[in-house]
Amino acid sequence: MTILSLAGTTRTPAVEFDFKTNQFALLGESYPEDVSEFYGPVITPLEAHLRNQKGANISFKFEFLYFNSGTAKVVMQLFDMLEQVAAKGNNVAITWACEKDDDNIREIGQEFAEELKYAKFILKELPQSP
Amino acid sequence: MLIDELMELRRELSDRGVLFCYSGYVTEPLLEGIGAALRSKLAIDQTDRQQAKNLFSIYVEQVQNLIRYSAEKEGLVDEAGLLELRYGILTVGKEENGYFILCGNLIRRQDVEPLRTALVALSAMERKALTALYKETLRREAPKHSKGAGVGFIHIARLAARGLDFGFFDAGDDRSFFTLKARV
Repeated sequence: MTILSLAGTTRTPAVEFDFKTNQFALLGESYPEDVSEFYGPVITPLEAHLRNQKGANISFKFEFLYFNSGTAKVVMQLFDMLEQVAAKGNNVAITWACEKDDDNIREIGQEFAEELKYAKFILKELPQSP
Repeated sequence: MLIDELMELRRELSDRGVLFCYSGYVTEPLLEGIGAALRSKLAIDQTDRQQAKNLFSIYVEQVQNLIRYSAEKEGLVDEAGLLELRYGILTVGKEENGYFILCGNLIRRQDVEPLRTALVALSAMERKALTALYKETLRREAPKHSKGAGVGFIHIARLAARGLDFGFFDAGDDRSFFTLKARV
């Protein structure tokens, strides 16, 4: 697989995974009916791919407008996964984008980032959506 | 119910600031539909953005709690699998200093004390501590075990800027009626 691309829906984020360039992004809203059913098929190939990376430049962008507590567990799992990949000598950058006025999403991102030793964390504030 | 009583019910709800009220079997499409209407209403009212986001976020957690944990359920197993419905009450309203979401559902009596203890503890915590606890709990609970009631309530407590109220009422038959009001 070189590209995994899913359009966003009301309840699920857009998925833009480019395995060739190691650029990954989740964008939009996330409160799926069944978190495992949505994220399982997204995370499984990602995990398999990342496990085989050596000395790679990997970038993962989270750009959520809203996510529920079930999704938060997946996000934490992804942070842990990316940190492990970084600890193995890859260059990993996690971009956490949130709307400028969204204290909740920003704080959760910062809280998750406190655990990171190897992966780089970049906070990016977006202008408010209309 | 008599036809003229419906008008009375409507007036009663209006008097209490209730914008949305649903009592019945709760499903995921219903969560999505009422959620969209709620967002539209908040947009029309030009509600403060952070307040509107927090309200919607709490709404989703509360309704998903009803769908997953209400002890009042009925089901049918056939060739297509399990068809299950759970009953709950949901209200969203406006009061003097903000909005509230008040939900109610039956729970097993044995679940009352652990839930009460957890909610008392959460209510006393400051936001920073709640965010730290949120992270800890997320790490402890594997994503598969979405049954753990913990993280959803922490999520709600974090966002309920004006606090939480809750109550447990004996409903007979080893059941209790649990109500949770989150205020933003």
